[in-house]
Amino acid sequence: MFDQVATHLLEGKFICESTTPEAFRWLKSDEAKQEISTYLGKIGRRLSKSPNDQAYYATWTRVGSSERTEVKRVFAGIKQTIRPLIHFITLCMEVEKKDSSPVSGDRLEYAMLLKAVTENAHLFEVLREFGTMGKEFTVTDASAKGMLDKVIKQMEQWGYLILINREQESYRFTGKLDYYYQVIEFLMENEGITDPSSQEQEDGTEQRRLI
Amino acid sequence: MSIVDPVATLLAKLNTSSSTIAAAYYQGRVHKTDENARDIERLRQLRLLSPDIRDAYQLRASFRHFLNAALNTERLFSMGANIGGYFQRLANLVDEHSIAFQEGRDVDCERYEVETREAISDIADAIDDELIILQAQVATRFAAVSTIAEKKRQNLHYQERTQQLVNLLESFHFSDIGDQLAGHEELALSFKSLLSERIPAFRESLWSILDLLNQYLFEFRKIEERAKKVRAFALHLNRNPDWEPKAWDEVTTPEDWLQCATQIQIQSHPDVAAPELEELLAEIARTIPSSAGEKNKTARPAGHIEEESGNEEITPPESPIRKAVRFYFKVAIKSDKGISARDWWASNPVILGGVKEEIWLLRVLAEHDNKGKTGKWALRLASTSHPDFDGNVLINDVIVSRKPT
Repeated sequence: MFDQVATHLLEGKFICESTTPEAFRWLKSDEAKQEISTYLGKIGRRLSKSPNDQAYYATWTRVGSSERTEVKRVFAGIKQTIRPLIHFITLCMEVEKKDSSPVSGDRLEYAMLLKAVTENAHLFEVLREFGTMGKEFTVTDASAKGMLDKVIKQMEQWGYLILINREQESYRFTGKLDYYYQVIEFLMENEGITDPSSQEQEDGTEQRRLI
Repeated sequence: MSIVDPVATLLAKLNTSSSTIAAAYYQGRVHKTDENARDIERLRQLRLLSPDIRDAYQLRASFRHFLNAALNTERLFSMGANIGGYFQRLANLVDEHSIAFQEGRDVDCERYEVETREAISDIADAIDDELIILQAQVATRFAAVSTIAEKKRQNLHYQERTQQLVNLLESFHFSDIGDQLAGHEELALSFKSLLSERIPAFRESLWSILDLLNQYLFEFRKIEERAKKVRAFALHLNRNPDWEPKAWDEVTTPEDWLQCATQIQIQSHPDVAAPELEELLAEIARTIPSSAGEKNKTARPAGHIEEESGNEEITPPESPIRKAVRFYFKVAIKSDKGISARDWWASNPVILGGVKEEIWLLRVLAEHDNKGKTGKWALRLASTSHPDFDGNVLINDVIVSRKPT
């Protein structure tokens, strides 16, 4: 299992329960972590995990001038994906009428998604908005199916979804989503982005206090 | 394909074991024999029989209650729906049995004995059933309901139910009942082996369920919090279409999530000199077609001149690197300070596709060599002298800017 895990990490992949279950379970043990960390340490890398332990990935041991370019590349990738991904997550939440955001391991049924965006004009409009989010989402076929196919394919390519059943067209969210939530949390905390609902509550309390 | 009806299947199975069920119901228990062994195993599998003392089996409480209701059988101290009721019923039965025994009412005493034995097994079964229900709910994380708010309510409900059960098991005076039953061997043995000895294990299971429920409540709150953040962030992006994060890649120590290490493309090749691979390689070789396929060659007939040219001119699409070079120079010649080729490479991964950084730098230098004299740009090298080879320089970066007028 060591060679499989090491290869995946060196290839820049995220190891999680949805993508590589056996490797993920193996990596959960302290001995495996130690073994991999020692190996990665020899080539200037270390083992990192997402905040809720849902994915493992390789990071630099130290960021010098040569690693700085790679940091920039990673950040450019995040900037490129952040809008479409949050748009996709909120679309899924609306379709499934859930008050929780998807997490690693959650199933996503293509047929259900397609039915929802086809039958509901508002959801179709939400899907159409992907067209304004970069050339990755440009389609020649402007039907709901054409657009949804493009979005799903892109999410799969970015590593947030994995196809688990080709016949039923079932997908699963991957552990990389946990990494993404970490980024959102950081940006919200450090760029002063607040939850408008809690802000409104605070304003209400303040008003009552003044009255 | 036939449709299997689980109710019909279950009733058919019960029908085949009807005589054993009837015996267990009327006699209170049934002993295992060669004739009924299959029935007993089947009924245990269906969770309709539970073990009694001395190799005997009795109907499970739920099934017995069903038969009681269906056959309209009267029960003493008819119990409530909760386990507290079962405990109260047991205490009442033991008290009444004790009084009947002291007053020498043998027939009543015998009846109370049967009922007391059943009450003991009712409690054990009820706790067992309760544990199964709780464990199923916990294992599926309340999968029957979809929203977090519902899950939280379910969680709180089961937390309360489990806590009540724990309190009941901790506060009930088992020792009093044990003392009262001490003179009646059969009942004392039932009470000891079916209930009092199992109480610590029941309690342990309930505590671990309670721990899990507490942990889930914490997780549900966390999930709710995260969903709120996702919605707030989505709203922020909608309200601010031009918003971009600050340059977090330029801080002295970038966050862990920004430090993802460069992908390494790993390729391996077979060692053709290794004798153990010979067979495998030969097998692969055999699967390769012997000829590349026939080519249809149409020759011009002798003496015939073709007026139309058979070849159509095809314009190849612009290569990604060519396109990237064109974009880069187009942007760079508008800048007075100049734009670093490496920075541009890092911030435009989509345009560049998978082009490696060193190839990109060489391509920018080649473009300058070819078109630099006529181009409207100036090129500056960020370089250092080579420590060992005089006259050579190490190029770290290339900066292209507008040509000074």
